[in-house]
Amino acid sequence: MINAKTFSILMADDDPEDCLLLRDAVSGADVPVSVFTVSDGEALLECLTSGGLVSLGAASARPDLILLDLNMPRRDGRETLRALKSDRHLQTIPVVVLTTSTAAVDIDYSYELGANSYITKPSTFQDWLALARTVNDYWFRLVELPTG
Amino acid sequence: MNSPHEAFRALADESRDLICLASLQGKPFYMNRAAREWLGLPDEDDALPGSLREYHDPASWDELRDVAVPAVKQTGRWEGPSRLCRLDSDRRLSVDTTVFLVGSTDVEKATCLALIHRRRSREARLKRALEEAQARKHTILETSLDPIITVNSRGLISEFNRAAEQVFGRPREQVLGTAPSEVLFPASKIEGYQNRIDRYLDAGEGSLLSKRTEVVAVRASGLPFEAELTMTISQEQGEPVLTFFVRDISARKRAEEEQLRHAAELERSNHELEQFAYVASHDLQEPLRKIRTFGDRLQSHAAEMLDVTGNECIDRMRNAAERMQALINGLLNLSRVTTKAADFEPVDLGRVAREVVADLEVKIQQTGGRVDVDKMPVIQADPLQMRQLFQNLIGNALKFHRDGETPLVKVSGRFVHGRTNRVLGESPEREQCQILVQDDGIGFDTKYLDRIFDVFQRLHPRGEHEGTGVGLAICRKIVQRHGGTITAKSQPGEGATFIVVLPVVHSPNEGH
Repeated sequence: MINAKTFSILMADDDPEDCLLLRDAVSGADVPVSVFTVSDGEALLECLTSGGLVSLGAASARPDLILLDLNMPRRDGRETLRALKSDRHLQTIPVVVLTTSTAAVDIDYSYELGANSYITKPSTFQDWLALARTVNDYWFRLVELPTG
Repeated sequence: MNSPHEAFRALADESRDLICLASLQGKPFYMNRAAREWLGLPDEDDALPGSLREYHDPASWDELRDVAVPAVKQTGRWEGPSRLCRLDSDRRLSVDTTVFLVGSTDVEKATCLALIHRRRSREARLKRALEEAQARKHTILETSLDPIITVNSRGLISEFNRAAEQVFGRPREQVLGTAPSEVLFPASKIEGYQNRIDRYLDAGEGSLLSKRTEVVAVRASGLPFEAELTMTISQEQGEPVLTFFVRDISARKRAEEEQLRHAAELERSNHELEQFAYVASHDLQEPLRKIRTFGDRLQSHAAEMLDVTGNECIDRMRNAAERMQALINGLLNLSRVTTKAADFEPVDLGRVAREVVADLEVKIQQTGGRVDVDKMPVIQADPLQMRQLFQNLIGNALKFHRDGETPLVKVSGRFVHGRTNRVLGESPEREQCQILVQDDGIGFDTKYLDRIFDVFQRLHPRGEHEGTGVGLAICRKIVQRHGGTITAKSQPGEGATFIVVLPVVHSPNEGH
């Protein structure tokens, strides 16, 4: 496992506790993933269009996966998603919506805007751990990601 | 035939008038042929009525007694109208009667009474019928609750009934002979109305004839009011006349506006409440989720470091958080009754109930109980909400079973006839469906009946029966949305019966 690649997740969420829980879950699940966080959609787009994750201390500029909250200040998840999917350079990065909303209108609209999947936030830490493992298993082991 | 007696008899028999001779005491001793024929008597003198009274209409007789008898006593003669009646049927004959004393005008010296009943001529009958019709028309006009106004061919008011006086606040004398537009309608409308009236009188026709239209009229005080107007045109002495039937609908309009305002207000407050419940539920979930998750984290990290009390505290905290989560979910479900409402469609209640029973299979097996579903009607309803209704009611019936006993639940339904509301012109007879969910469980004291349908109301400590106290509140909200009622009958330890009454069909604008 020493040479195994470490995958990067960029999480946009205004809730610092959810960011903390994802970090804890990733480390608790012992998956080869680095978590970088920004507090809203505006910050996410700024980060990606100006040097990428390198500015946050990552080795490569592009995240392998974006976890996107829907309800955030400044630029919310829907607008961010639209911006990402209409940007020639950024549109290939898989975006997983991670939100508390279970409303059908949010789910359908997210897919309409090009979300790659939609997950509601876990209510227990056990579920956070399961989320970390499942995201890793699916997106970083099963799926062939875009090459850049 | 040479005796004058015989000759007079023959003469009298030729008369079309009904002729009768009677004693001064009023006992007939002679009647001519016309009288005997009309009264239906055999052609014999001894078959005459016992008294004059017998062949008179009772009301007419009373009048004769009070008016004719005194007149005859005084002057020996009376003339006037009276009514005869046949002896063998109810047939009546209106006649002009002449009564006079024979032999002398002095009643002491007279020998007998003579009565000549003259049938009315066709003209007289028609004249009288016309008089009666006019009297009847007058009575109708004056007793009508609605104003009735007639406008003659010159466009001037010729009739103005009592209701019109009251509604418009003007005495008849002031209005008769004026143009209706001058006194009855607001200045701004005068021209339009007057043109219309003139046109109808000229042409004898118009688009508004015999149709109900709403107009603005004005009272004597100058206050305008809304009125419903129907016009008919007819002929009077060869000239066209317009009759207006006016109904003051200002009170009704006010009530309608009030009702609309109330409905809008209710809609707005309902909407606000739904928004509140929805947003609150979502926003309340957020910190709660954190309490639960960090509680997990704390327990998995620090379980060994904490003593028994510390661990117990965390357990209690997590239980409380879970309960809070359940309450919020309940509230969310309650708000969804309106936010997630679907249109009404035909729903087979029996099928829905059986599906719910199948879903509850595990619970039924756990309790060893049984749920019997009878034949049930098909009604117009929101299918998902009917499902939820049965789920909550049957679920409750299974939940509140007596200790150590297996629950037996019976679900049945039938059509019942609702109240009629013909006066308001609504649907003639709304058929309703009554649903009963009966159990043999622990029951409850009906003094709590008004509470059990309120949200978060529970009759049992949490330890005894799980639940958040939202189920029946959801039931009531569903039933209310369907325009129905829900109640229950029970006694502690005697089981409970929940009774839901729902309309079978809905008017097209309901259920949204």
